[in-house]
Amino acid sequence: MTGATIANSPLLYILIAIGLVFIIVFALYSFFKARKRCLELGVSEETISNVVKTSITSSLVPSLAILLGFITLSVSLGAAWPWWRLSVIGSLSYEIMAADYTASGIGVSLSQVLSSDPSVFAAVMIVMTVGVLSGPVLVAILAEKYSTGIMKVKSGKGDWGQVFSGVFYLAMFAVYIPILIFTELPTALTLFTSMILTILLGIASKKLPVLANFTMAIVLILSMASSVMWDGLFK
Amino acid sequence: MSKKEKTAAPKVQLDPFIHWSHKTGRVFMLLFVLYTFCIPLIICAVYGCWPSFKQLLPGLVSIMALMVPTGFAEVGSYTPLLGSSSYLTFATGNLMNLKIPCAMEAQKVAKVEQNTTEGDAIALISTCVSSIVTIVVLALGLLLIAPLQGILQNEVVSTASGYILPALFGCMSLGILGRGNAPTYVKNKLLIIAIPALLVSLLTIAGIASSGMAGYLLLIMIPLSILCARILWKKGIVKVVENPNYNAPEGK
Repeated sequence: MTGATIANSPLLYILIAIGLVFIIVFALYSFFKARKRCLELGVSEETISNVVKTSITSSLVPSLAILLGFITLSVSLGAAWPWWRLSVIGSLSYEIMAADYTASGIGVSLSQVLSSDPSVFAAVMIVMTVGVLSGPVLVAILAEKYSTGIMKVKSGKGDWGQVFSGVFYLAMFAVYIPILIFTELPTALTLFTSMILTILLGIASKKLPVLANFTMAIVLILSMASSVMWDGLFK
Repeated sequence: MSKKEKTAAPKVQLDPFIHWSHKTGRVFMLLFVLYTFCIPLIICAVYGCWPSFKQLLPGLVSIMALMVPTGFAEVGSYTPLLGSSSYLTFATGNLMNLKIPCAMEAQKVAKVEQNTTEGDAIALISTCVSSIVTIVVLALGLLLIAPLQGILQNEVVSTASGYILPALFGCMSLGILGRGNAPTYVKNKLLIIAIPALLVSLLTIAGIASSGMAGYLLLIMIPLSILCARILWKKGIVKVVENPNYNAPEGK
C-alpha cells in the first residue's frame, strides 16, 4: 500500500462529498433566510435577482483560477484531497507550502508523497488540516462581538459611527493598492487596465443597464487577458 | 464625549436576523471544523496509516508559526467587511481573490451599505452563491480533470491567473471614489488613508511589503486609519454630509 492507495480511495471521496453537501445545504439555508429578510426590509425581488446574477458571474473567473490550482496540486496529491482543500478553506499557495513543509520534514519530496508509505500522505492531510484551522476557530469565537460591535458604533454614534465603519474598507485599499502599484510593472498595468475598463463599462451600463450585473466578470476577463500582454512586454 | 455623540441614541438594538446569522454561523463553523478534522483521522483509522509524532512535528511547527498569526490578521481585518457572512467565507476560503470582492460588488449592485442589516444580508446572499459556484466548478473540474489539464495548464491561462488580484482591485477601487448609495456620505474620506497608503507605498518600494504580508499590514493600518479618521473628523476636515446622488429604494 502506498500514499496513492488512500489518496484515491473511495472512502476519501465519500467523506469529501459529505462535507461539501453539508456546506451547500448550509449555504442554501442561509441564502433563503437572508433573501427573506431582504424582502422584509424592502429590497426588491429584482435587486436580489441582480445580486445573485452578479455573484455568479463575478465568481466564475476566480473559480477557474482556483480550478487551475486544483489541477496543479492534484499532480502531487491525487485528485480527491486537493478537491476538498480548494473547495473549502485552502488556497493553492498555502496548500502547496503545507504539503511541502510536511514532506520535506519527513525527508521526501512533494512529488514522492503518493509513492511513499501511506503514513506520509496521512501526515500531509493532518498538517494541512490543523495548520489552517486558526482562522475558522477565531471567527467562531470573535466574529459576532467584533462585527456587531462595529454595527452598533455605526448606528449609535451619529456621524462618527458612519466615518468609523467605513475605515476598514478604506484601510484595505490603503494596503493593497500601493502593493499592487509598486511591486512590479505588469501588476500595476493590469490594475490600471482594470480601472479604465470599469469606468468604460460604468458609462456603457448607463445606456445598457443589463451590463451592470456583469461588470466585474467582464472586467476580470479583459484585464486578465491584458495581463498576458503586460507580462510579455515588461517582465 | 463630543456633542455630536451625546445626541446619538444611547442603546442600539440589532436586527434579529443579525443575531440569527451569527448564532447559526457559529454552530456551522464548529461542526465544519470538527468534520474537517475528522476526515484525515477516519482515513488513518480505517487504513491503519497513522503518522508518527516525529513525522507530523516539523510540518506542524512550520505551518502553524505562519498560519496562526495569519489567522489573527485575517479575522481582525476582514470580519468588519464581511459581517455575518464571515463564517461561510472563512469555511470556504479564497477571501481576497473571490469572496470579499463578490460581496462588495453585490452591495454595490443592491445599493446597500456595509455594517447595516441590508448590507449584511446582501453580503451573505453573495457569499452563499459564490461558495456554491466554486464548489460546482471544482466538482466539474474533478469530472473533467483529464481534458482540462491541457487547457488550464496552458501558459497563457497560467500567466493570466497570476494577475487576478490587480484585476479584482482595479474593479473594486473605483467604489471608494464615489459617494455611495446612502442618504449621507463621508466627505474627504480619502484623506483618512493618506498616511497609511504613503507608509505602505514606502515599505513596498523598499522591498519590505508584498501581497503576502497584506494581512499583517492591515492589522497595523486599520488602527492607524481609525486614529487619522478620528483626528480629521474632530477637526471637521472629514465630515458626514447629505448625498445629492441618493435615491431612496422603492418600498422605503
